[in-house]
Amino acid sequence: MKKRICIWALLLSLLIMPRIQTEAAESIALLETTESVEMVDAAKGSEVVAVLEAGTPVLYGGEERDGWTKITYLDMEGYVLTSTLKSYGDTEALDKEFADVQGNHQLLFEEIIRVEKEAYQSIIWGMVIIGLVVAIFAVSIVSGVKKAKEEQKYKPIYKKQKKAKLKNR
Amino acid sequence: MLRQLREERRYTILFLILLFCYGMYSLSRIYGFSIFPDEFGYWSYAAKVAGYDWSDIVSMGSYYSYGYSLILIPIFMLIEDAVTAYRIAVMVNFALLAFAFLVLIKLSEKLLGENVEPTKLVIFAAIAVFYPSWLFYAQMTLTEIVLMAMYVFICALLYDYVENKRLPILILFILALVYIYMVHMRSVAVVIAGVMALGYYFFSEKVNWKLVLGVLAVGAVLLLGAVFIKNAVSGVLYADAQMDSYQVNDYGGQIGKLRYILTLEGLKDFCVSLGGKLLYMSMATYGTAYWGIGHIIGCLWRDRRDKAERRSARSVLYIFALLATVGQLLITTIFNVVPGRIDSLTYGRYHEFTFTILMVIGLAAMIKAKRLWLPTLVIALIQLPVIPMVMYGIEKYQLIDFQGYFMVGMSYAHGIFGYQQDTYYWMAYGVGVVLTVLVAGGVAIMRRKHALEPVLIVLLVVELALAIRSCAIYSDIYNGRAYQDKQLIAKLEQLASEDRDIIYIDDGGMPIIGILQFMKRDADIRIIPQKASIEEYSVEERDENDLLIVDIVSGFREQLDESYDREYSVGHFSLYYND
Repeated sequence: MKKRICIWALLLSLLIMPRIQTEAAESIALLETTESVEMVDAAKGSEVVAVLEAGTPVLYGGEERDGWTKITYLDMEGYVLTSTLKSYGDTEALDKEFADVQGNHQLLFEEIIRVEKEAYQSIIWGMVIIGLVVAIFAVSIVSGVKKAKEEQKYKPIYKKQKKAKLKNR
Repeated sequence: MLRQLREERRYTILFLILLFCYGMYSLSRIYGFSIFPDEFGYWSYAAKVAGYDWSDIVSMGSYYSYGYSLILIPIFMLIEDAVTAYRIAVMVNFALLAFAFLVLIKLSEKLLGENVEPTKLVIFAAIAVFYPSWLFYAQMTLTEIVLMAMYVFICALLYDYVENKRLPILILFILALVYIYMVHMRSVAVVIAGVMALGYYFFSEKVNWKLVLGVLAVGAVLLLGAVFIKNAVSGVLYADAQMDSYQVNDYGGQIGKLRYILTLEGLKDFCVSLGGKLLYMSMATYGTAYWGIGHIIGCLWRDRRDKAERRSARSVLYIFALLATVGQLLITTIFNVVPGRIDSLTYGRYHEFTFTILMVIGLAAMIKAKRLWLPTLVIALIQLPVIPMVMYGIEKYQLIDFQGYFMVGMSYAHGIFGYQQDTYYWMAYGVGVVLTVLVAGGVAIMRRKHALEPVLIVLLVVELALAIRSCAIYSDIYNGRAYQDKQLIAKLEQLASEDRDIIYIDDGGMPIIGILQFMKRDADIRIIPQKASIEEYSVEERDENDLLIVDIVSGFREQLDESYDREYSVGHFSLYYND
């Protein structure tokens, strides 16, 4: 029973997680003001909470209503006129830079994976090689012991044969 | 007898499996070239046959023979991916090692089987084949393993022909001599030794002269054909090569050295060079090569009055092995008479392939020798005066550059102590003496208690460890960078377009751009020489839109950093391009 609950919880979390990440991804957009503008707080009856200079970077808040856009500036949330906002900096260049950084991280990630994979394979084959060497030693020790026993067994016979040869001479 | 056969077969199978496992252990770390431009030179022939023109880059390096390329051609044509093709070529090297091992066992049983047990011969053959240099060179596409395997095969063919007098074997022997010459021209000593050994045999034996002369004539024609092919392919691939760099590996580049040796100063340098090569032969083989040479000379001297023995297969083979060893030693000595690097003084690569047979014969001689320790001591001590000679050579030519991978058999000290110019060769000598004593000790134990074969298997384990250590120092770093070069190729494929050329600025150093060409075989890489300033390049030479590649250590990068929007440095190269 407990196991079933855990499995369902995991499945549910897997379904929800991508959506949360997607929503998070959608709300993260960098904007900047094009002119000096007042930021108002709709919850407090459009009270001015901040005055933003031209070129101030702000975060898109995920909501647009009646010509106003919800933004986040520092730790404050509020609304400014949509017409006073534009995308922050040269997005194309930023995108490229981000892609470069992402590419470098990808390189580092691949390098780490490669080193780990190599280390793993080296360990496996290294253990096989050690095992083989031990097997070779074992074979040689066993054959050596057998040869030594045979020598002991036939030593008196060889001695007799040698004596007989010497007598014949 | 049956029990013994089973036992030696057991060992043979276990050693073959061990070789295979070592090959698999190494394979996962292999991504591309470690020694350049040699390896690229060998693959370039395969590329030409497959229809790719790499002559621009090939012309930047010296001449490399085409014999090994005959093995690389099918691999290159069948396998598109560069890393997979390279790894398959490496596995072919290990297969050749296994082949050499089996041939060596058969040959040593015929040669030495009367006096030495077959089991011991299998262990000796394993020690000769697990020689650290072979395990190191097997992991790259150089000619060393092919040369060693062919040399062992040639020895077996010669022995078989003299013993059984079969014409197909003689034809195969001649073909093998021609092929080994095609693999690397420095093996000309083996060809001359082969012809001389055959000549010695034919003059002391009643043979069908017409048949023999016919076969030899065919061999001579094939050899001339090999030379003709060499000139033809050089004309195609090396058309734009600088004569100086082209002739480094060609005979033309050695004529000046021969003239120099005839002078007093040249003779001194010749002695230093020869001493260094003899030192290498002793230290790298733990003294066993000297035992082998001593045994060969002893047998030939003993049999000089016995007509039947003089004409025997063993005597003919011994004459061949002696002549080939001396010939290769002289070639290596002359090639390095004016050392360009420290390792040139004790260069091992060019005569190392003659050591394999000598090691097996030497170990067998040690087992049966009346005295073991005195000759071992003499072999170790006789090398001592060579160290000051080598130090003299380093001082005279003010040598700094040290490439230990061309003298793997004496580079173990590099792995243990690192490189210090004043003390390195003393430490290398010390390590060599320790190994010599270890082998002599093992043989001494085997002589008294002949059942104790595990004793020499310890040496096999040591050889494996030394090979792994050599790879860790000399090739693993290059394989890591080769992997990163693959990533640069991925980047180039991302950026490539019809109006963007790929350009490499040649700073006159090692032409490592071959690595990228090999990774992306159809890439059209244009080579331009480095100029003092980037502004000096015309629009035809370098367009702002082009993808520019330089060596990652190039001093030109400072200028390029200022002139280009983007820079991507990875592996051996830096890529510059504009948005």
